[in-house]
Amino acid sequence: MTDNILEISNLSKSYGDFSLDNISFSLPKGYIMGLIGPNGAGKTTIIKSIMNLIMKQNGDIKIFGKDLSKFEIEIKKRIGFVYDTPNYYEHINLKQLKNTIAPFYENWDDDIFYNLVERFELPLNKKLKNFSKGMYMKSSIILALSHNAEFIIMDEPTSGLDPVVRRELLDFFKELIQDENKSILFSSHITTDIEQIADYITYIAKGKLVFSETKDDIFERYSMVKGGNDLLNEETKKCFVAIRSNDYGFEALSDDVINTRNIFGDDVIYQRATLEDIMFFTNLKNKSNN
Amino acid sequence: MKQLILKDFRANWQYLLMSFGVLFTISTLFIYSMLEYQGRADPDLILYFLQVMMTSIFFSLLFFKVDEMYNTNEIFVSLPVSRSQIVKARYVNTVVYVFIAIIIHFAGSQFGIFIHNGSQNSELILLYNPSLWGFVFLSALIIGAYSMPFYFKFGINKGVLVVFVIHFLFVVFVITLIINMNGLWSDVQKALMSIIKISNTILIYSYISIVMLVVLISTLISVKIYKNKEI
Repeated sequence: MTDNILEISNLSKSYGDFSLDNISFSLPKGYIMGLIGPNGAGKTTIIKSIMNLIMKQNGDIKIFGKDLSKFEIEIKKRIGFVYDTPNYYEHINLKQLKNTIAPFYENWDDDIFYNLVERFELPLNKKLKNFSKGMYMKSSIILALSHNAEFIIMDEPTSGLDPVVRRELLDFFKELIQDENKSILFSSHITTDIEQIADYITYIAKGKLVFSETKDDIFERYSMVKGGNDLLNEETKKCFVAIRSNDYGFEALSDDVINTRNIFGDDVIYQRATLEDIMFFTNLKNKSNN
Repeated sequence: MKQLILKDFRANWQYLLMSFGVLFTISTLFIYSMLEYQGRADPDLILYFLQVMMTSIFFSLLFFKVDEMYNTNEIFVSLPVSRSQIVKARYVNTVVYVFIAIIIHFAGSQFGIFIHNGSQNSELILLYNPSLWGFVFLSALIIGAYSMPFYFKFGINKGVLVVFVIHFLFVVFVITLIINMNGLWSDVQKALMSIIKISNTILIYSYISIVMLVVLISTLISVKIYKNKEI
């Protein structure tokens, strides 16, 4: 029995001028994976492929160790999903929505549903068309969790939310993962959210996998380096993913801190790279390669 | 699949009630005005049955329309159901809706007669012919069946347009044939008369079989289309 809750191998999909190119990564059971990348990088395409909303051209997707194409219904019984824009019937209220969705799940638990409704202070009898984006997203999360889903897939759940609701949801996700039987795949272009809660990070850029590693490994490997322009030459530039310089000096991202330290020693300043730095400089590299 | 069938009625009962109210009113007004202005039923009753058929099938698109309006496909395809079940449930719902719509139309016609006090009109006897209502029901199913693959392929708004264009081209084609081919219309009439002379039982069973076959083929095509559809 595999310990990976999700295994994606060589996933490919093309649409006109965009293509998802042989993406492979896996998520062990009981962890949160953040799927990051700029807008249009392919995050939603990956999530839609996992949910079988779009037809992959190549590759395999296994969830709970089972092939999605063969065991779709069985797998979906154990998945909770939250989409960027949850599209529900807006003419009904949350209670009616629950009555529409709940019968599809054998493991639906009304106690969980009503407890979460109370926790998030959502009105049961207000029509969904009068819900704010935050209330909509909370409703979607409640529906995703009320059938005891073991794997929760969320596409940009925090985008467009005000900071208070975002913080509230992130805290809730952290609590949620205390249950070791639950795993979360969480896509976002808000890197600070991912930094706060993810154990694994998968970075997609222009349909290609840049990396899929533990957060700790990523922050050990990557570093921001700042120093004078006189230190840069053809050889030293090779240490960096990309460099940004001005009259006062340079700022660069290194993906091999040990090697960079060997070359520059204490002549430069080393700072912890944030996910935003990693995304920005990787994007800069891609642009200069094109 | 049971839950997919029920969810359309469970979540959209307000729209359903509204649509049934509209159908009831159409039938009441149609029959009332027919009795009021002409005092006789024929030939307006043929038009009446035509509108029963067309409005019943038109309003059965409600389920497609509401799902498209709120873009709920993404949610329902993500639930633990297969795409094939989603399509089949939609077909079942359409049949159920058309059946209820025809009953509502009948009730509306009776209300029109009641408020006009026109029950003495002998021409109205056609309204009490169950075979005619059955024919209207089956004909509505045929129209629905050949249209539905277009709705699954293009969505309801584009799909209705495509079906309308097909109807229009068909009518133009038939008219062109009649104008340009001497004797074709009389041949068609002769063929229709010879069909009518066949025993009613054979006609009814043949028509039911044709409708079932068309619905079955339509379902298979729609399943194939929807299985490959990107949501």
